[in-house]
Amino acid sequence: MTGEIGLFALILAFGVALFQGTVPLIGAARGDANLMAVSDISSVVLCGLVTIAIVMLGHGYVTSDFSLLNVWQNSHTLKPLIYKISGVWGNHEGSLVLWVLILAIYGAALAVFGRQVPPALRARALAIQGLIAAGFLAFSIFTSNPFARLIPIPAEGMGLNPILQDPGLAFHPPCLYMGYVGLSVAFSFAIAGLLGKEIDSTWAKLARPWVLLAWCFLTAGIALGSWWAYYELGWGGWWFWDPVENASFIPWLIATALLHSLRVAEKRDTLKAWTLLLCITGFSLSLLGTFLVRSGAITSVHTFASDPARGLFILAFLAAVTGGAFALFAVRAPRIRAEGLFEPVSREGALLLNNVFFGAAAATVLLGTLYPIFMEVAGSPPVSVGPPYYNAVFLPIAIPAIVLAAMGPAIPWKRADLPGVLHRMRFAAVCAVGAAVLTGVLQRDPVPMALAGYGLAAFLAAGTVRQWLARLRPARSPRRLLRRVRNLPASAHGMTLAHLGVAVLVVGVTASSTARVDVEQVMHPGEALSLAGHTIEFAGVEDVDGPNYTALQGRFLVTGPGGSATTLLPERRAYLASGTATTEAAILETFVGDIYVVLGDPVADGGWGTRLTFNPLIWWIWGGAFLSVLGGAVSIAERTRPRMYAAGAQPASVQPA
Amino acid sequence: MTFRRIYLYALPAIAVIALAAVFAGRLATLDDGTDVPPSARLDQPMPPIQLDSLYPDGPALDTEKLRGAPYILNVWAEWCGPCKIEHPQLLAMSQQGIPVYGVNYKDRPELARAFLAERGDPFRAVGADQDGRTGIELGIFGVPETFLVDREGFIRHRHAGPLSEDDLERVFLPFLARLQEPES
Amino acid sequence: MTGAASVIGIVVLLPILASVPATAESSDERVRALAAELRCVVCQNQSLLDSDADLAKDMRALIRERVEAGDPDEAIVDFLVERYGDFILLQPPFKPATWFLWLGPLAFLLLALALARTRIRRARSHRNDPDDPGAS
Repeated sequence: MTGEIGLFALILAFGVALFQGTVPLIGAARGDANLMAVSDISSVVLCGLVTIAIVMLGHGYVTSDFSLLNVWQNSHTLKPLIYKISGVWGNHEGSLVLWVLILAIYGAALAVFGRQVPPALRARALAIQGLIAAGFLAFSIFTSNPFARLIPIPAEGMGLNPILQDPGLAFHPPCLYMGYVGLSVAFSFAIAGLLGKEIDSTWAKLARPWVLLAWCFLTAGIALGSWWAYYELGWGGWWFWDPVENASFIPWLIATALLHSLRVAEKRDTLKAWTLLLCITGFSLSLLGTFLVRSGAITSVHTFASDPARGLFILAFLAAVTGGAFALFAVRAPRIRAEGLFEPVSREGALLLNNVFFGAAAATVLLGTLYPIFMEVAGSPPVSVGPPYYNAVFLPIAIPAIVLAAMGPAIPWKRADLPGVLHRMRFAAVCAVGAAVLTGVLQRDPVPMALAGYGLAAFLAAGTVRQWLARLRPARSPRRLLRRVRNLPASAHGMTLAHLGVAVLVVGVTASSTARVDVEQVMHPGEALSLAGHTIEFAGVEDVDGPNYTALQGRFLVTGPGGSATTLLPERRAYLASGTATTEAAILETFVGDIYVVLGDPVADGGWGTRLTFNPLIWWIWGGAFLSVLGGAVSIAERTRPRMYAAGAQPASVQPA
Repeated sequence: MTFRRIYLYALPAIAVIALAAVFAGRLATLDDGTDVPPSARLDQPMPPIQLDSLYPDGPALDTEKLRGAPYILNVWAEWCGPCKIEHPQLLAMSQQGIPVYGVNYKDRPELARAFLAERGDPFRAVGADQDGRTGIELGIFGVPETFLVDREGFIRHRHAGPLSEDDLERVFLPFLARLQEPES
Repeated sequence: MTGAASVIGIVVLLPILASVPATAESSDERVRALAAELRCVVCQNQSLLDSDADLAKDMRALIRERVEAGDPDEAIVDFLVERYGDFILLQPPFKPATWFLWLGPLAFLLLALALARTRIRRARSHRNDPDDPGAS
C-alpha cells in the first residue's frame, strides 16, 4: 500500500504544482489578490504531498520492502539503519524525490516567511517555483518512478554501492541539494522581477537572504563532499576537479559572484541586469549539473547509472527553463535603467571586479568540464582535462580574487582615493611579508608557492580583521565596544568571518599541497618508520567482520612526538552483497596535520604494500569552509527592514558593508 | 540603446541554444555502448613485437615477420570473461583461413593453455605477454582487444571488447576482404 | 608613500611567486610527479598516481624503470602518448583542437574586464551628461 500512497502523492503533487505554476501568474497579471494568494496555500500543500511521498519511500527502505524495485536495487536487510535511510537518496529515483522535496520546502518557506515580499512578486516567484517542481515531478513520475513494483518479491536486496555507505554520504547530498535547489529561489525572484518589471534595491534586499541560504548550503555541501572524498576514496586528496565536483563548483562560483553583485544592486541600485543574469545563470548551471550527472553525458565516480531517455528529458527541460528565462532576460533586461554613479576605485568597483574574476572562473571551469564533450561531438581524438589544466588556468584567476577580497572592504562606497586605500592596507602588507619571511625561515627550502600562499592568507586575514576593527575603533570602553559590535550590521560580521574562512582555507591548501609527505613502501610486521615526527610501527594484518562486509585490517601503532600513542586500523573491505572491495584509510588527526594510512596489497614475502601520508594542516581547508558558512549564516540574520528601503532612502547611520 | 547592446543581452539565450545542441549530439553518441576511446595506434604501423610462445615448443610471435598479408591480432586472457564470448568468432576466422595471432595478456600459462585445449586454438602463433608490456605497447585499455593489420603492417582497425558474430559479419570480414584485394 | 609601494609590491609579487613551479629532484619524486600528470586510462577520473587499477600499476612500474634508466620526462610522456594518445595527458597539449580550451580562460577574463569597463564608462558619461540616458 505505502508505495501506491507515495505514487499517488507524487501525482497529486504534480497537479498542485501545475496549478501553482499558472493561476498566480494570471492573478499577478490581472492584479487579482485572491488568485495571487493561492500561491501561498498551494506551496504548503505541495510541500506536504512530497513529504508524504518521501516518507513512504523511506518506509519502504527502513522495512526492507523489496516489492519496491527501487528498494530491492539499492538496499539490503543487513545494512545499518542509517544507510537504509540515506539509501533513499543514494540512487537516481530517490534522489530526485529528495530534490523535489527540497524545492517544495523552499517554496513553502517563501510562502510562510516571505511576508515582507510584495504580493505580486511573491505570487510570481512561487508560480515559477511551481513550474520547476512540475517539471521535476513529471520527470520522476514518467521516467524514474521510485515506487515501481517488483513481482515476485525477492527475499534479499542487491545492496548499496559500498563506497556510498558512509556517514559523509548521509549528509552530503541533502546539503548539496539544499544549495543547488536554493538557487531556484533566486532564479524565481529574477523571473518574477522581470515579469513584473520591478527590479530595484528593495528587490535585491529581499532576494539576498535566499541567495545567502543557498550559498551556505552549497558551500557546506561541497566541503562535505570534499571531506568525504578525502577519507573515503583513499587517495589522500581533497579536490580532484572531477566533472561532478565541478558541476557543483560552477554554480557555487556564480552564487558567490551573485552575493557580491546583490550588494551593489542593493546599496547603489545599479548593476541590476547583471545581477539578474547571475540569478538565472546560477540555477541554470544547477540544472546543467543535474543533466550531466544523470544523463551519462560525462562519466565520473559519482554519476548514477546513465539512461539516454532520462538525459533527453532533462535536456529538454533544461533547454526550456533556461532558454525561456534567458529569452525573457533578452527582452526585458535592456529596459532596466542603470542608475547611480560608478567610479572605478570604489566599493562597487571592487565588487564589480570580484564579479569579473568569479564570472571568468566559472566560465573557465565550465569550459574545462565540457571540453571533452565538445571534442567527442566534433569527432576529434579524445582529450582529458585534469587537475594540471585547472591548476594552470584557475589559480591565475583565483589569486588576484583573493588579493581583491583583502582590499575590497577597505574601499569606501561611491568614490575612494587609491592612496587612502593603500594606506589602510599597510598593516596587511606587513603581515603578508612577515608570513612569507617566517615561512622562509622555518622551512629550510621553501617552494615559492608556499611563500605566496602563506603571504596571501596573511594579507587577507590581516586586511579583513583590520577593516573590522576600524569600524569599531572609536569605542573607548568595553561596554561601548560591545554596543558597537552589536550595532554593526550582521553582514559586516558575516563578511569578516567569510573572508577569514577563505584565508584559513588558503593556509590549508598551501600547506597540504606544498609540504605533504608521502611514503609508499612495503612494510613487514614489526617494521617501523618515522614520518613527520611520528613513529609508525606496522603490527600486522588480521581478518575482521563488519555488519555487511569482511575486511583485512592493518594495525599501525603511531607514537607522536610527545609520546602519545594511537592505533590506526586501515581496512580493505569486501562487501558481501555486491562483492565489491573498498579501501578504508585510517586517519590520525593532529593539530599540525593528518597521518593518513592506507593498506595496500600483500607481497609474496609476507610484507604488505602501505601508503603513509602526512597531510599538514589539511583540516584548515574544511575549517575555513566552516568559517565561511558561519559567516554566511550570520549575514542571513541581518534584519530586512523593507519599509526603510521602500522610500529608496538609505539611513545615514547604517554603515555600508 | 544601440542594436549592439540588445544583441549583448541576447547572448546568453544564444549560448543556451548552442549548448543544448551540443548535448543533444552527445546523447546521440551515448548509445554506441563502448566508452573506450579510439586507439592512438590506429593507422600507425604495428609496433615490432617479439614474444615467446605460450607453449614451450610453439612458434614465437614476431610481428616483423608478418608483413605481406593482412592478419588479425587478438589480445586475450584466460581470466577475462568476455574472451570466452568472443572465442567462437576467432575460431571461425581461423577456420576460414584468416591468419589470427594471439597475445596472451598477463596470464598463468598453464591455465591459458588449458583454455585453448578445451575451446580450440585459433592462433597461428600465440605469444605470452607475462608483464603486460606488450599490452601497453599496443595501447590496450583492457582485454579482449582485436587489431586488424594490413599487408604493409599498418593497424587499420581496433575492436575493444568481445567480438560478436555481428561484428565479424559486418565489420571484420568485409574489412579483411578489402585489405586482401590485390593492389590496383 | 613607502606603505603604498609595499602594498603594490605585495599585490604584484604574490601572484608571481605562486606561479613558479616546484621542481622534482629524486627519482621517487619524478615518478610521482609524472604519474600525477597522467591519466589512468581505464578509470573514470583518476591519475596514474591515485589509481589501484592493474594497468595503472603496470604503467607506474614502467615509468619507474624508465626514470631509473635515466630517461628524461619528455621521452617517457611521449612514449605513452604514442600508445594512448593525448587522452592519457591530464594536461591537454596546446594544439589547434585545444586552442579554445587554453585561450578560453584568458578570453573570458578579458571579455569580463571589457564588459566591466564599458559599465564604468557608461556610468561616467551618465554623470557628465545626465539628460542623455542612451549614452554608451
